[in-house]
Amino acid sequence: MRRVIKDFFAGFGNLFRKPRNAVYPKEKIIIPEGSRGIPKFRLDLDSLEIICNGCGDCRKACPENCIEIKKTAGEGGREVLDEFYLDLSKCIFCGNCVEVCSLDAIEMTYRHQLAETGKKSFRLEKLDLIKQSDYSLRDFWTK
Amino acid sequence: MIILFRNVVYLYLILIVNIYMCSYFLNKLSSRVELKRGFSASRAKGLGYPVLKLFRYLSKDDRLNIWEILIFFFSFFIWTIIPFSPTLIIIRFENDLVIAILFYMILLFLILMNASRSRYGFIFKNATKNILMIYNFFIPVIFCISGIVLINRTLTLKEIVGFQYQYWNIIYQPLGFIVMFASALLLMKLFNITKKSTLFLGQNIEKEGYGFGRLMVRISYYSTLFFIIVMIIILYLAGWQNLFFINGNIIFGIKFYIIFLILVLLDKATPQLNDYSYLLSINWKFLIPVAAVNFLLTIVFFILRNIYGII
Repeated sequence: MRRVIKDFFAGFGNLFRKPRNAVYPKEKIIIPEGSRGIPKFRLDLDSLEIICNGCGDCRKACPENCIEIKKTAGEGGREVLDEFYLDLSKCIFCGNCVEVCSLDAIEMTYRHQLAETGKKSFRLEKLDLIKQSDYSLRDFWTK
Repeated sequence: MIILFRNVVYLYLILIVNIYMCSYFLNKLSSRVELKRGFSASRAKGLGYPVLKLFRYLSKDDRLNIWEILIFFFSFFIWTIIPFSPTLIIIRFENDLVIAILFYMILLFLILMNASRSRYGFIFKNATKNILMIYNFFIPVIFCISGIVLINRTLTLKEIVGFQYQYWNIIYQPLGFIVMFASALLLMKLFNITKKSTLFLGQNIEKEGYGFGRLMVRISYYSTLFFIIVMIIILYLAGWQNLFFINGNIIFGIKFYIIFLILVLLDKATPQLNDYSYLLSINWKFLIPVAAVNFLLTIVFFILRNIYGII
């Protein structure tokens, strides 16, 4: 009986609280901290170039094999990153690539809306991954 | 004749508006209690929800049977004798309380007959069980009503309201009020008006479709619930008596919706009762003994006051 009375008043109190669910496109929500969206490339702030050197650790760590890396010989015979592809249609946003990277060259953004018209647009190139830095703010959606 | 016609129009307008409002509030309240938003497909905070539901019922073709037509007739006819206000009575009887109860029993009987014509064993079994249980829950209600009749010494609803101009009957009969309220709650739970019932609606709809007949049955559920709520207001909460300077009719509406709100909240706070033996034990071990004790106390009080003149 005590529980029924407690639930009764809890239900009555809920009438004056804000509902938990949101009307999706109309109402803007702030994504919880630490949630994982599309990965992005970090840039070196001095030279504004990609930090990634194409070592391929992330490709090995990826459980879905969605990362593709091509390297070329650069100045002084060093191997430099040429092309980097990420297949979003396979990616499960596990964040292993971010954890594995020794240079901290990859980072997860908060972008979660992935609807696209064609399957080809899910294959992100190097430049696409740089562009994702617009979505690294948690409340990008509300702006 | 014109006055009668006007009264009929007023009465059915009140009924339709109340069914609309209750349908809307049920949706909103029951979802807001769970911190959800409720139906909001249409604009204006989902005001079109009951209309949409109506069209959902009408969208499917269904053959009407005789019981559904009778239910439709009776679920409106029951309101011709129960007064919402002193002037809004269509058929005047000397002992309208008895006839109101009789009409209510007939309505329940019709719902029972309608449920028992189903081809599906599951629906037949559960629906008949439920309605027989609702008959069971009416036993304590009859005890409570007889207590009120003994106190007020009349069988006319209008006079019962008139007697409460000074003190409401709830002061004399608090136990009776509790029993009546509990039986109203259990009635609401058995008809499962707040959520999609597994017994009455949920699985039936998939098997037997919506159709106009099911809409009628749904209205009759609302009608039976409204009947109990209106009886509680008239018998215990002084019906349409003015409260300070506020008009009695407005007070009647406010009381109706407060009781309705409390019923919805209590319905949400208690678990879904599908265990029939548990329900029967609530009835026979709590409601009927309390109602009987209340009735006996009232008889003792009545004899002491009116026969021996002690009190």
